[in-house]
Amino acid sequence: MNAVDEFDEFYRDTSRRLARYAYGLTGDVADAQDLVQEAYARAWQRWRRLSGYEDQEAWLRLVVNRLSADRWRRLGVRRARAAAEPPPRPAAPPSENTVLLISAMRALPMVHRRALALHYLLDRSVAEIAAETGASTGTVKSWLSRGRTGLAAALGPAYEPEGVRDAH
Amino acid sequence: MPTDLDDLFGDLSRTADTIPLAPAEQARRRGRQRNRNQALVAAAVVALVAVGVSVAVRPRPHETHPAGLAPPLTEVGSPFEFGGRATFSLSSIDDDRFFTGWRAGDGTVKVVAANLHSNQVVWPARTIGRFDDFSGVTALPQALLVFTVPDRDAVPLNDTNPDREIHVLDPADGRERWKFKAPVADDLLLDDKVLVRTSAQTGRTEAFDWKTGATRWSLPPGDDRPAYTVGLRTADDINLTRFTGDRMVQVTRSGQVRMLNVADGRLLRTTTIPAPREGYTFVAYEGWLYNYERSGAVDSPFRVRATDLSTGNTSVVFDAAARHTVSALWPCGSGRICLSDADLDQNTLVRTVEVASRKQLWQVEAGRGGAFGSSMRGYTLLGGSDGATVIDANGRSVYTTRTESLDWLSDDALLAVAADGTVSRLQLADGRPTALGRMPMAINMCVNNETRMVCPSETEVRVWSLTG
Repeated sequence: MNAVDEFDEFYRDTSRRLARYAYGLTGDVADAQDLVQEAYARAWQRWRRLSGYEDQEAWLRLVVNRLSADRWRRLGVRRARAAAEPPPRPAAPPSENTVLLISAMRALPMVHRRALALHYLLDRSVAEIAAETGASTGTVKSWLSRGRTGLAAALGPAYEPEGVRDAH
Repeated sequence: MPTDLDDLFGDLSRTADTIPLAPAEQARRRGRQRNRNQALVAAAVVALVAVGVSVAVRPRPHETHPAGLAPPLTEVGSPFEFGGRATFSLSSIDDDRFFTGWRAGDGTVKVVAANLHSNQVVWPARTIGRFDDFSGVTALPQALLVFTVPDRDAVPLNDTNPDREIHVLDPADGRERWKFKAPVADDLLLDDKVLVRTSAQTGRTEAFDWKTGATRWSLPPGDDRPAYTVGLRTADDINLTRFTGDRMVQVTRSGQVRMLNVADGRLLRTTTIPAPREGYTFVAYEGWLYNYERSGAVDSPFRVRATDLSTGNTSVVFDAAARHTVSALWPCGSGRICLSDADLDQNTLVRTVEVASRKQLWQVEAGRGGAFGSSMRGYTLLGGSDGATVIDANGRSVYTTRTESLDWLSDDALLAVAADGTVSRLQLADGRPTALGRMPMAINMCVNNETRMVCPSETEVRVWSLTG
C-alpha cells in the first residue's frame, strides 16, 4: 500500500472520531470541520514520520487542542482557507440538548473541556486520558469532577446529576 | 429535557457524527499548500500582539474612504528583494533602522537591516539557519531578536507548545551573539538591562546579558514556583514588547506577589493575593498589578483585582455577572483598567473601571467573541469581531471601522490602512481622517513609526513616507 492509500485509509478510519472531539471542544460545526482538515493536512505533511507513531490519533487531537485553544489562530486559518477550498457542506442544526451542552461547555476551562470530550465523546478511561495528557489519574479525576460541576452550574435546572459513571 | 450528561453528550455525539467532512484528498492538498498558508496564520497571530489593532481588511461597498482616490504614497528608496518567494516575512523598527526577517521556500530564515530614511541596506542579509517556521523579529537598542521554530509539530503529547529558538543578534552588524531555546509557555521579559526568562518546565528564572548571553542572576524555582512573570510598565513605555523600568513582578502558584529589581534579581517587596489558576492575565503598570480571576470555585464568576505594589494592599475592583467571561484586560490611563466582559452568547462589552473608586466609568459594545485593546495618551484602540474602534477618555467613540487596520502613529494621531491601500492619518481628537496616499496594494503586516511605514511582502520589503 502506498503512502496516499495508507493516509486515505487512516483518514476514513479516524476522521469521524476527530470531528466528534473537535466539535466537543469548540461547539462550532465550521470550526470542527476546519480543525479536522487542518489536523490531517499537518498529518499528511509529515506522514512518513507520523505513520510510525504508536498513537496517531492522539497526535491529531494534540493539533486540534493547540489550534482550538487559540481563537485568533483559528480565525487566521479560516481566512487563509476561505478562497482556496470549496466550503464544506452545511450540517443539520443541533438539537436543543446539544445547544444547551455547547453553551455550558464553552464556560469551562479548556483542560476540563478536553477531559470531558475524551471521556464522554471518545469513551476514554481516566487512565487513558492521563496517559494522553501526561497528567496523573488524580488530576484527570479532578478535571472530570470539576468539569461536571461546571456543567451542572451552567445547565441549571435542566440538568440532574448522574450517578457515578464507571470511568476506570 | 435532559436528565444526565450521558444523554447530553450522546446527543452531541450524534450531531457531530452528521457533520459533513471534506475528502482525504482535500486534506492532502491542504498539507501541500500549508507552507504558504502558515504564513497567513502566523500573520494573524502577530497582528494580535502588535501595538495597534488590525482587523480583517475586506472591502465593503458602502464604506466611505476619507478622500476619494488618494494619490500614490511616496516610496522611500527602492524595494529590497528577497530573491525568491518567502513563506513569511516580518519587519521591526528601532530608531532610524528597520530589520526584516523572512523564511524562504526551502526553510532558510534570513534577516537584513536597512536605513529607515533611505531604505539603503545597513548590513547584508544574514542567514540564521533552516527552520520549520519563522515567527518574527523584535528590534531593540540592545539586540535584534529572531524567533524561529525548529520543528513545529515535534512536540510531546503532554506539551501543547512548540519549541522555539531565539537568536540574539548584534543590531550593528547582524552577527549572531548567542541563542537559546524557550518554549512558548516560558515567560520572557525584554528589559533594557537584561533578558529575563522564567522556564515553564523548571520554574527557574534567569536574567541574561544582552551581549554575551551570560547569566547575570538567577532564581531557583523553590517550593512555590512562579506562575507568572511580567515587567512593570510605566506610562513612558510606548513599545509594548520592551520594558525600560527597573522592576519586575512574579506571582507564584500560591499567590505570593514578588516585586524584584530587574538588574540584580533582588527581592524588593512581597504581598499575597489568591492563588492564580492557569490562563489568567497579569499586567503591571504604574505601580499596580492587575489581574482577572475566578472569585472562588472553577465555575464561579470572574472578577478583576488591583494590587498596589507600593503598599501591598489588594482589592477587587470589578465583579463580573454570573456566567460572564473576562478574557482580556489592559491599563487604559493612570488609575484605570479596561476589560473585555462577554456573556454566554459571547456578546462583549469593554468596560473601564477607575481603580481608586472601583466605579465603572464607561462601557462600549464590542461585538461578539471578546475584544482586545491597547491604550495610550488617554485613548483606547479596541479590536474585536466587529472591527476596530477608537475611544476617548470619556468613553466616546472617536472613529469606528470594519475595513481598515489601525495603528498608533503619534501623540495625536492614528494610522489607518484601508483594503484598497489607502493610508490615512486619523486625528485622535475628533477622528478626522486625512488621506496620506495610496499603496499599490494593502499589506497587512506593515509596521510604522511617525514618519515611515515598512511593508514586507512575499517577495520584497518596501518603505513608504508618511510625511510626503
